[in-house]
Amino acid sequence: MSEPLLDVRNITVSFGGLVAVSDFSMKVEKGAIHALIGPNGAGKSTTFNCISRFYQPQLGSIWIEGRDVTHLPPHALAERGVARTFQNLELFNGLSVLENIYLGAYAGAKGRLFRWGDRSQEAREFACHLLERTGLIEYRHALASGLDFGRQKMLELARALAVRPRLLLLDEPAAGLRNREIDRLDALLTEIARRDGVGIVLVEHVMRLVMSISDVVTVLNFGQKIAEGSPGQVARHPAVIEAYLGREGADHDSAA
Amino acid sequence: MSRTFVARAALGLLAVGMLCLPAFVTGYVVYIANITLVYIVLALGMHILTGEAGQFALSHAASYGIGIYTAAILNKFAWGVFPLPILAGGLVAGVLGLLIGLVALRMRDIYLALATFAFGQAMQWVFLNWKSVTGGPNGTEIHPTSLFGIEILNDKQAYLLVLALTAALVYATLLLSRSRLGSALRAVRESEVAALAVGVDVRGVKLVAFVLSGVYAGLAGGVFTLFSTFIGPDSLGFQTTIFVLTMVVVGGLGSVTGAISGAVIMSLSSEMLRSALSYQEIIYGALLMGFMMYASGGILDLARRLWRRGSLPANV
Repeated sequence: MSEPLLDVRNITVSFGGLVAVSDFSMKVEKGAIHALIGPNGAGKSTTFNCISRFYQPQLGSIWIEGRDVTHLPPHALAERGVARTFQNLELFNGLSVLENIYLGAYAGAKGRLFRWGDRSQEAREFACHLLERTGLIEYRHALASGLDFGRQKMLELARALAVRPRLLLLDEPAAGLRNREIDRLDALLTEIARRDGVGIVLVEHVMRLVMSISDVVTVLNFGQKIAEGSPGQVARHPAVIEAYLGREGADHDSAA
Repeated sequence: MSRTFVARAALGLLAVGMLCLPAFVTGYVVYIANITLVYIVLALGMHILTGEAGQFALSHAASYGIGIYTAAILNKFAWGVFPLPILAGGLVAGVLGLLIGLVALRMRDIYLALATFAFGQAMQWVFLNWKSVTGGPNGTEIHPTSLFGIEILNDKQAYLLVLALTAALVYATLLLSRSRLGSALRAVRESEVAALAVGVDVRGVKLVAFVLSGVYAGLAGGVFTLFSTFIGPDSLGFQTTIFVLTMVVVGGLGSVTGAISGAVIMSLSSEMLRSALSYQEIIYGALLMGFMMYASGGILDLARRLWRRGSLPANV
C-alpha cells in the first residue's frame, strides 16, 4: 500500500504542564475530506497547528507523502504542497485581492524573481481562474480589507488554492458564513477533493458542513481521540454524544 | 494619447531638465540638487524597510554616517577612485544592516524601535569619539574622489554622477517593488503568519530588508562624499533619522514616488528653513504628527483627495 498523504503519529503537545494533545494519531488519504471535531478546547486547533508546523509537538512525528516533516519550519510546507487557512482570517489586508492570490503562488514561483505576479501571463491566468472559481473575479482590484466577511473567507481559501496544494488544511472555513455561503463552500470543497484529488483536513464546528462533505470524522475531547469513522458512525457513537451533550444527555439517550 | 504616454513624456522632460540643470544655475542650486538626490536615496532605503517590509530601524543616520566615513577613509588613500569609495560605503553599511537585522529578528514594535534607536545613539558616540577617523566633535575634511585621474572638486562636477547613481537606485527600487521579493516584503508587512503559510521565509526576508536599507543608506553616504568637503557628527544623529522618516511619511508610506516626493519636499523646506535652524525640529515634528493623524496616505494622496473634492463637489 502506498504512503498516506498525511500521517500523524502519536503526537503529544503540552503548554507548560497542560497537555493539549495526548498521543494523537491520524491518517489522511489523497482526495479525502477528513474532519476534526470536538468541543472547545479539545485540541483540534493545536493538532492543526502542529500539522502546519506552527506548533512543535514534544513527542511523535508528522509525515507528509512519506517524508518526515516534524522539524520543518512552517514556511517550508507550501513548496511541499501544503496550504492552510486560519481560524481568524489572516489576509494581506492592505494588498489587492489579486496580489493576495499571487502571494499564494509564492512558493511555486521560486527562481522567477522578476517574471512574477502581474508580469507573468501564466500567473495572471491562474489567478483569474481561481478568482472565478471562488466568485471573486469582479473584486480582483479591491483591497482585501474592503471585502465583506464571507468574501474574505473565500479569498483566504482561494489564496490557499493558489499554493496548488495536495494537502489543504482548513481551520473553521464555515465559521460566520451565511447558509448560502456554506452551500457554496460545500460544493467547492467537494470538487477540490473529488475532482482535483486534494486531501483536506477540516477543523469545523458547523456540523451541517462536516456531516455533508466528510469521508472520515475524528472526534477529540480533552486532547484525546475518542472516536473516528464515517459521519454516520461518529454521530451515533456514545462517547461523542457524551462529549457534546454531557453524561446526562448520554443517559437520556440510552434510556430512550 | 494614453496616460502612460503623457507620463512618459513628462518623465523624459524631467530627465532632460535634470541633465541640463548645471548649465543654467549657480553652484549653490546644484548643491541643493545634490543633497536632495542623496536624501532621495536615504528615503528609498527607509521606504524598503519601513514602507515595504513594515519594519523599523531608527538607526538610519548611523548607516548613512558609516557610508560617509568609509568613503572618506578610502578617499584619503589611493583607493579614492570612483565608484570604489561609494560601493565600500554601501558594503560596510550593509554588513551593519545585517547585524541590526539579526538583533531585530528577536524583537518587534516598540522594542525594535528602542533597540535600533540605541544603536544609532551608540554609533553617534563612536563618530564623536573616534577622533583619528572622524575628527571628533569638530568633524573632518573629506578628500575629493577621483575619476579617470581627475579629482572631483565641486558640486557641478559631481552632479551628473550623483544624478546617475540616484537614478539607478530609483530604478532598482522600482524593480524590487515589482519583483517576487518585493511582494514578499509586503506580505511580511501585512501578516507574518499568512506570509509563513504561503511559503515566505519571514526571517530571511526581514534580514534582506535590513541589509538593503543599510546598503542604500551607506551608498547615500558615499554619494554625499562626492560633492562634500566636510562631515561632522552633528548631522548624523537621531534628528537626521527623524528627518528621513518624515520624508517617507510626508510622501506617503509604501510607495516609491511617495519616498521621492517626500525627500524633495523635505530637502527644499529644510533649505528654506536654514535661517530658522532652531525651529526646524519643531516644524518637522509637527509635520510628522500632522501627516500621521490626518493624511497617512501622504502628500500625493492628500492632493488627489483635495483635487477630487474640488472637481466633484456634488459627489462629496
